This record gives sequence, C-alpha cells and structure tokens, in this order.
Amino acid sequence: MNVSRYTMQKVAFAIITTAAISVVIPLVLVIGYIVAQGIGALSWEFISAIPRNGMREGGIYPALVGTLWLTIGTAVTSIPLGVGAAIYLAEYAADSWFTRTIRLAIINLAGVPSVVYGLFGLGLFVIFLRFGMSILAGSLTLGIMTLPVIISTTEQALVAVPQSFRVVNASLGGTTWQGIRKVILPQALPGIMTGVILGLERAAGETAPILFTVAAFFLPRLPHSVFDQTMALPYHLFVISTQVPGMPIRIQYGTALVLMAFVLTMNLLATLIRRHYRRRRQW
Amino acid sequence: MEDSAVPKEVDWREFSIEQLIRLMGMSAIGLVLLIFLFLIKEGAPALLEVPLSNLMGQRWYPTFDIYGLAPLILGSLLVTAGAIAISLPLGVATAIFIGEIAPEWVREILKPVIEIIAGIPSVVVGFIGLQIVSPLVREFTGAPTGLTALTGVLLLAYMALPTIISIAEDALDAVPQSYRNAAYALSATEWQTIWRVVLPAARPGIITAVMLGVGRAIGETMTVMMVAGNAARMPLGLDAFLRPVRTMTATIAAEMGEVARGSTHYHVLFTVGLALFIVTFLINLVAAASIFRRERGGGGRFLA
Amino acid sequence: MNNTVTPGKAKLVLNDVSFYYGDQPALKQINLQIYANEILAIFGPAMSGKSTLLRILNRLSDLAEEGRLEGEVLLDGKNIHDPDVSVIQLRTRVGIVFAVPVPLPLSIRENVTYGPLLRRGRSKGELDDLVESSLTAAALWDEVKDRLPEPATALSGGQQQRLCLARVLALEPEVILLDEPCSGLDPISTMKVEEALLALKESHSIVIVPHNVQQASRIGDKAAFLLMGELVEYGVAEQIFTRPKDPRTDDYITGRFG
Repeated sequence: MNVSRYTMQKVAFAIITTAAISVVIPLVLVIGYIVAQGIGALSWEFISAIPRNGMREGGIYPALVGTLWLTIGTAVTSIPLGVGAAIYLAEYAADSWFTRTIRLAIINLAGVPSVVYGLFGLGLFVIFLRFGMSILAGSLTLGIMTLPVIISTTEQALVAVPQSFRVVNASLGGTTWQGIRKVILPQALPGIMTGVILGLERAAGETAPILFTVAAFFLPRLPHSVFDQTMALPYHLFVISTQVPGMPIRIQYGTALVLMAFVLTMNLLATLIRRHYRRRRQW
Repeated sequence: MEDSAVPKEVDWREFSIEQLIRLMGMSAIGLVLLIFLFLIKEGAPALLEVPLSNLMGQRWYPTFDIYGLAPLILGSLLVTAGAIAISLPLGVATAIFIGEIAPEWVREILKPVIEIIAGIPSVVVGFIGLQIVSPLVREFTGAPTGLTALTGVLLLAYMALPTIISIAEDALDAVPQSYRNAAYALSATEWQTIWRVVLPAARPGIITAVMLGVGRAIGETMTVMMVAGNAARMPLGLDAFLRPVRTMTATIAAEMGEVARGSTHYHVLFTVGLALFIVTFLINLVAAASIFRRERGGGGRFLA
Repeated sequence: MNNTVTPGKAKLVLNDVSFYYGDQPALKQINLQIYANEILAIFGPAMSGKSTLLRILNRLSDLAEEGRLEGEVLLDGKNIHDPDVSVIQLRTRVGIVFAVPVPLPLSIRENVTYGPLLRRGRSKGELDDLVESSLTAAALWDEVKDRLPEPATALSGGQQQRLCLARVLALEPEVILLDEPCSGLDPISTMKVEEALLALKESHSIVIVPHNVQQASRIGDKAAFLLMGELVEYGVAEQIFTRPKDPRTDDYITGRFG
C-alpha cells in the first residue's frame, strides 16, 4: 500500500466535506438570489393590494389570504384527528397486529405523492360530495395529506416521554386519561407543536393538491365562504412563472420571496420551540 | 392496561374519551382504504374502456385516444434513477459528515439547514429551475432548450437529499459505539472505521433511506412539470437526459384540469394515479417493515 | 416454608399466590400475612421476585403485559381482584415508592398534591396542610418549605426519594410499599428515610424490600426471605436474623451466597 492510511483519511474526509458543503451552498445561493431579486418588488402595496392588469401589476393579497385560509382549514382538519389518533396509538392501544397495521398504513400514507391526494380530493370532495372547487374541498384534501405527518410526529413525541411517569401516575391512583392530561401531553406538547408546524408548513407550500380542488388563478377578490374558490400563493407562483407572457420578472421573484418567507418563518418557529423546550426539559 | 371498576365520577368520562380516541385511530386506516378504493373506482373504468394493448403502447396522445403509459412510466423512472444516482452518494456523504466528522457547532447549523431544504415548496424549486438551472443546462450541454430530463434530475436530486440524509444519519447513529471503539482499539483510523465498519453495519438503514428517497422523487410533481419539458415521448437513447420528458405525476397535474369529467381520459389519469399510489405504497411498506424489524417498538411497559 | 408468626388480624393476606410472566414463574405459592403498625422486610437475592411481590399488593402488576396471577390477595379481608373493587382506590390505600426516585416534571408542591388532586377537589387550605404534613412525615419539610414552587428535579437524589415518599403519604394510604428505596442514596439520606419509616409505622403497615440484609435487620419488625420466587422463611425479624430455621436463610444472611 503506497498511500498511507492517514493520507487516505485526509482525502476521504476532504471529499466528504466537499459533499456536505455542496449541499449547503445551493440553498444559500438560492435564498440569496430570491431575496436579491424579489426584495425590489416587496412593498406594502404588494402584500395588501389586489392584482391588476392580468396579475402583472398590483399585489398578491388574495393569494396570501387564500393560503392563510387553506392553512387554517388544514389545521382544523388534521390536528384534532391526528393528535387523537396518535394518543390512541401511543397510550391506549395494546401492541397487536391491528395497531401495527395502523402504524404501517400511516407511514405509507405519508409517502403518497401529493398529486394523488389532489386526485383523491377531486374525486371525493369536489365531485362526489359536491363541494365543488372550494376552500372546503381544498382544506380537507390538504388536511388528509397532512394527517400522517401529524400522527407520526405526535406519536413520537408521546412515546419519548419516559414510561416511568405513566407508572407513577398509575401508582398514585390516576387513570390513563388523567396521566395523559396532567403529565404526558404537557410534556409532549413541544414535540407535537413542532410536528404540527412543520406539517402545516408543507401544506401551505403544496400546489398539486390544490390544483383541482380549490385553486383559481384569475380571482382578484377575496373568498366569501368556504364554498368559494380562492387564489393561493404556490399556485399563483406556478401560473405567473409559466403561463403569463410578459410577467415582470420582479413580481415573480417577489411572489417566490413571500412564499419562502412564509415557509421559513414557520420553520424557524418550529426550530425555536424545539430548542427552547429541550433546554427546559425535566427528564 | 385496563382500568377495571373505576370510581363512578371518572368512569364514563374516561370511557367516552377512550372511545373517541379509538375512533380517531381507526379512521387513519379507514382513510388509506378510502383513498385506495376511490382511485380504483375512478380508475377502473379505464381498464374497461381502453384495450390493454393501447395502455401498453409507446405513445401518449390522449386527444387521439392513444393512452400508452410506457413513456410516462419510463419518464418517471428515468428522472428518479438519475436523481437517486446523484443524491445517494451526496446524501450518504453528508450524513457521514454530520454524524461522524463534523464538530458539534457545525452539526447544530447543518441540521436546521437540511430541514429548510426539505421545506422548500416544490413550486419554488421549479421556479428556480426555470430561472437559473435551465439556462445553465442549456449553456453547458447545448440542448435546444433547458427543459430537459437532466434539469429535472438535478432538481429532484436536491429535493430528495434531505430525506436520504436524515434517514442515513439515523442509520449511522444507530450503529453502536462499541463497534467503533473495537476498531479504534485495533488501531484503525477514523476513516477506515467508517468505511469498513460503520457503513456496512448501517447498510440496511441506508437502503431504507434510498427507498424513501425514491418514493419522494417518484412522487414529485410541480418541479418536474415546470422544468423537465413535459413531452410524453419514450426516453430512449443516449441523449435521453438532454431531451424533454414527462413523468406520471406531471401528466396528472397537467392534464387533469382540461379533461372532461367522466371521460375515458379522466379515467386513465386516475389509473395513473392509482399506479403511483400502489408503487409508493409498496416502497414505503418495504422501507417501513425494515425499520420496524430493527426497533421493536412498544413492549415491556412494566417499570421493573 | 417456615412460618413463625402467630396468625391474628392481618392487614394484607396472600393465600397461595403465584405469579407468572408468560410461562416463567416469578412467585411460587406464597403465603404471607402483613400486619398493621409494623415493618415487614422482604429480603433475598436479586431476581427472586421481591419487586413482583410488592407490585401485586397494589395491582401495579396489572400493567405487566403477559402477567398472570394465581391465588388471592386480601386487603382487610376483601379480595383485591374482586370485580367491584376499584383499582384506582386500591392504589390510594396501598401506595408504593420505587427504587429510582421519579419526580414528576412538576413543582415540589405539585408532586405532593398530584395524588389528592386526582379525586374530589379539596380546598387550598386542606391541600396546604396535607403538603406540610406529608413532607414532614417524610423528613423533608424543613429542607423544602421555602422552595415549594421550584421544580422537583432541582432536588438531590436523597431529597427526591423523600419527595416520592411524601407523594405517597399525601394519598393518606394505609399500607406503604417501598422497593429498595435507599439504593443509590448516601448514608445520611438513607438514615433519614429509615427514621421516617420508623415513625410512620405507628400509623401504617409498611412493607419494604431492603437493598441489603443490614437494613432489614435495622428497621424490620418481621422479615421474610424470598429465594427464587419461593418464600423460604417468615417470622419475627430478630429471630430470623439470629436463629434462622432454614439453612438457606442462614447461608444468605451470612453471605455464603448473595
């Protein structure tokens, strides 16, 4: 062996470090570029005004509001059901083939492509249940898509709480639910919140599920009810970057910037929550 | 654990809460079935209306009632394979970096960064692809437009990275420290330990990571729709990467909007969706089964 | 089995109790009586079923997956597995302190009031009194009386264990079970716990699994030697430790096996 082991190590580590750097650099460049190009478009008007001239001027307000509504709708659909299911799996269900099947089903649901959810939402909510293309249909679709993520992360958060707390609760005469309510759930809450935020973040940025269930492009007014269609940021970006001739590039970058800002803020929130509570954890 | 004969004031409340929660648990599995059944319901008519020979054909011209699925399936496969070819080594290397080499402070920065990458909406990735990557591809390869399979591959690889990195990282982390210590005791260098001991031990986990990365790549819609050219042709030949291509996902997204409800085209698109569902389901099933085998969850709730 | 205890009115009675984890027997045909106002020390080598025996007494054994009980356990003459017996209530009458102190992630005060607050609400005044009396009986009040809102994890190991004892006392139980409560504690903390127990026996039944034979002989009124799930000998402590009837007991006490 002509090359010493240590030289091998240096080379290998150099390659690996380069790989890691090359993963990070595009992100930094992309974010930087979007900020640089898009910041010019940002103004109070951009955020609060309704688009004009075939979306080429004015603001993106309806799309922002639409995304907000859809996010809320997703939360309402997926959080109660998701947290409930997770509590069932983690605290009540005995380990059996049935619960294992459920867990498997959930993991698989998490991997289903978002466009398939869109298809499902179209078939079930828009057509079969006759909600039509609406915030209702869109929220339900996004909610179902987010459900597996919330169930998994919530279950993880619950299981991470030491088993000894449950035994102590039982030994002091507490029922399962009392233990959950007084000790387990509060301790798992940071983890649950992190999972919820990340799930909602994904739902806010998705385009495919809302393509056929709610998203409209040329709808320069706010939705009046859950049965209305609405604009939405991701879909808006998609259309203005691919289908509108003469769309000022600045507006495209501005829209991308707003969407990224939305997503990154949620990400930051989740990270901060996780950090803060990890430090204060009493176990 | 059963609470037998609980005092009355707590009993029915506990019972109803438990039932409610059980209901929620059941609905999860109900949902999977529901999705599956619905896709079948809407997709099955296609199998009756379109002869099998048509579906297995090599041309996809819905306007002429030609529904050859091959170009779409191959399109998905090509782009996915290409993406994994890039993101597998890159992802595992980064996982090694994070898990074995990087100092703590670097790790603390890198992990959130990876999460941010995972959180970038696919439409933004597609947008950047259009604005930056596509022109670059055109520059460097001389392809007529930048909207090629290669562009899609590059972007997909980046999107699959976080999945592969985090799961590979878990796999590396799960290798017991005693393995490494034993190697060090035999005077192996760190790299030798990683290459010869840790990586092989983590191999099942890394395979899982790849499978989930594949699942992610196959399921990606907006990015490929925006940059891969959207031409439903068979991606054969050496220059396949430099030509436009179309995936199953992009087909659904692109054509669903303009299709008449209840028409044959409509049903065929649902069949494509069903195929996607089954493929990703199977991938995740195998991946999850191997994860389950390694961590025997539950069990032993008795504090001893 | 050698039993040198005169049967009288026992608080807890085990009749032919056996316990299995799956197919593995952990306890074989135990017959035992536990009396009020005294300390019973159950000692023996590791894995003899002592912890299992304790947990049977307040049905914490119900939590064990694949656990199976045979025989009967009577509290004040009533079988604790009768369908009309509330497990919840049973566990407030028979409290347990574990080997490893597990303070709940709450304040010191909230740890102590946890048990009482699980049932009917009590007034703040009542709770305050309960907190003080429980912590005093656990020999912890003086050290924490000004620190009640602090997190329980801020306490030292010895203090946490006494907190766990106070927590159980707040339930106002009749029987207190302790599973190696002083393992991992320094001698001073151990002494404090033992003193607390000696005071507590005036008003409770206490069953303790000591972590060594010396502790058993220090504080036990009665003693029972458990070996591999079998109750070898049971009687007045003084007699067991000075003139054991069974050679196995003698061997264990003198350290011929451990």
